[in-house]
Amino acid sequence: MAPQSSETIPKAHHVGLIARFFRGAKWYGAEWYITVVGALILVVVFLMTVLAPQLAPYDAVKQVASPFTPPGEGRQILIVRLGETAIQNPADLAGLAVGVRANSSGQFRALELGASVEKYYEIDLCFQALADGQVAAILVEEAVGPQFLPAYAADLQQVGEPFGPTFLLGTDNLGRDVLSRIIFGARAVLLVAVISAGVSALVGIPLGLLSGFVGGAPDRIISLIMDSIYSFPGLILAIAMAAVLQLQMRELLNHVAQALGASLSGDQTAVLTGTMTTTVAIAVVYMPTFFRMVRGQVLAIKQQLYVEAARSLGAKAATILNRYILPNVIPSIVVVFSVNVADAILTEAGLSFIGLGLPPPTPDWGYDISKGRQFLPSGQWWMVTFPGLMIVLVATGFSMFGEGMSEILNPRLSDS
Amino acid sequence: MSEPLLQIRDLSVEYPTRGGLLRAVDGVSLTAFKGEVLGLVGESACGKSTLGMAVLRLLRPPGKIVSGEIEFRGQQLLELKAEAMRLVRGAHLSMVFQDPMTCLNPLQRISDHMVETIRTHRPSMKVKAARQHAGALLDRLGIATERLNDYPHQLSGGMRQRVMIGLALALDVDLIVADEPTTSLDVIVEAQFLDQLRELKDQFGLTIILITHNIGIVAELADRVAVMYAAKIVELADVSALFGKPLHPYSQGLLKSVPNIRLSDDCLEIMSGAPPDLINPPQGCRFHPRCPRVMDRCRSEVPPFDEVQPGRWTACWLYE
Repeated sequence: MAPQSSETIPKAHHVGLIARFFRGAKWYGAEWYITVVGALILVVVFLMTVLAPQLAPYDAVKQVASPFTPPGEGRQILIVRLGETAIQNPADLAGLAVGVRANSSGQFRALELGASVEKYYEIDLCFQALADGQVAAILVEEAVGPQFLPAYAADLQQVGEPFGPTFLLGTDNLGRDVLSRIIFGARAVLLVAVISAGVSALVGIPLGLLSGFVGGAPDRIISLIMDSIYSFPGLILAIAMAAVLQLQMRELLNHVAQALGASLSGDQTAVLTGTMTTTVAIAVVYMPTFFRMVRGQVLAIKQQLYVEAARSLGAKAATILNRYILPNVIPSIVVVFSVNVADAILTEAGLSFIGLGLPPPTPDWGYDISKGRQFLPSGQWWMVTFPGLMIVLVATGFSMFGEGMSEILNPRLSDS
Repeated sequence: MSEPLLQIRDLSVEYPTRGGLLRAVDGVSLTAFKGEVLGLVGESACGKSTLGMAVLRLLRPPGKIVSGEIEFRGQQLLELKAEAMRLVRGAHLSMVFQDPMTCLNPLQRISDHMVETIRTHRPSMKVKAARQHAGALLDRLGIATERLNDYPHQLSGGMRQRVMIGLALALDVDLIVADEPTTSLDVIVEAQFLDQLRELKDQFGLTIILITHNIGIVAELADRVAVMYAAKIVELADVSALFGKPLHPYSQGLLKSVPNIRLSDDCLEIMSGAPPDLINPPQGCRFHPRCPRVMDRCRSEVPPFDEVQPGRWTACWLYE
């Protein structure tokens, strides 16, 4: 350390947390951008959960289009017989008999337009029926219809431009809009991930502080319990916990509902049970992560000279724990928490993937991936890709935010 | 000589290790009188820091005081309950550590440190009053009052060491155990610091136990010096007497091994051998394997720590 008298040290100016945030770009460089990008991702995702009903174009649990509509497709073309003049645009279909392929987007558009629907199992048959005069018009996919039209060029014609909605991220195997499911799915995922990480932090941190600080027999007992939880592979333990807890959670929920005089429908019970079960299962799995990190930090900080110095000045044990040890552990807690939320999202997805998460119609990224995976080999990549990207995005957002904050919260870096 | 403030009698500290019991302090008796600076010198690992920590009862586990007593202001410290001992620390007895860079909580402002220490012992004092008191104290130590709001990393090493002294002096302490307080400071800051320490000692009527391996600091600051070797005190004398004519062969060797610019390099004597293993200390006098004046008796019998001249104590068969 170079010798410095009090005169040669420039006075550092103190800046509040908010001002520090805005000056951050200059001070911290890369870390600031990492934090801000992470925070922006999180803000967008949180807004998504809050504004889901406004943002989502469709109901997340209803069939709204043909199954397996690829991203960006879903528009229909209207085909009528040559010389037909009564039908000039889709609105004219109201009340008419319209031929559609069963379970296709056309069927849903026709119903929306108030037409009576004749379903056929092949597009061919639709064209045939129209040519034969069984229906007044047919609705076919923009991507498929034009291929058949030349064969019937003598009888049929297309009217107007392709119309109707496109499905930005496509639809799944049950014809549900993938985008809407992703938007609504963020709710379940974030709720479970954040609450479970919070619960494991609330249990793990105090235990870690106590264990590391007190030492001796309590430390050994708590460590033994935590290590035995830690020794299980996380997902396996979560599966076991979720399977075991499901019954208890349902009973607990019924008791609570009874006590509050509320009555729950079967669906509500299923969703709440699923949420609680997953949350608790994940919380138990990640408890040791917090415990071990905090305990290790406490053991290290306890050896620091400043703790010894505080003792030599008669500081109380509670003071040492609160003001010397805990504040020095917090930066690590922030990092571990955000990494854990990221991890919990993956575990939640894993639980839903194997069917122990939320009950099926509820939108959930993990469940959608597990369903979509079955159709990946046949080329329907969008069911897996988009929920998967969301998981990656949110997990990355939490990690970036956590890592960046740990730099910015560090007062050693707070002077200019 | 004034009245004794701290009396250590026959104190032993043990550390259980894998190799066996390590006696870091072995039957040490020492008295610090009011208002004096008592130097405690010896080479590394001779037990001097352990002795300092033992006085505050701050030994790190598994270290343990196994026997002896410590009397401070008429109180038996070893008989106090943990809570009562905590109230003695900081209020009457405090410590200054070797490394000022890591002595302060990096996340607390200087004022938080000071206010916390003051209010721990005087809970009735308002925060504002405590801050004022802290500011005045820093001012006396030559640190601008505004620096109360600084974090430790914003201060230089010398300033931090002064803050540590400030913390130790925040209440009317009687005794400060300073464990190598200047080791990590450079010579200029060290000189300033020593000046200040001397001044404070007079102003506050402090008693200081100065633990160091730096003979120069002892010569400058201490009134009396205890020389420690292998967990035992081998010599205790007034500083001028010790430097004038060291009695114990270890003290003689220690003083000769200090570099002196007026002597040529060849005159720097280096003691042969290494300090003994404290788990299996040598029979008899612990210094005998390295002693240039060893006698048969030294190999088998432990020399008693006796007053061989008025005010001079040593443990050596040469003076029996």
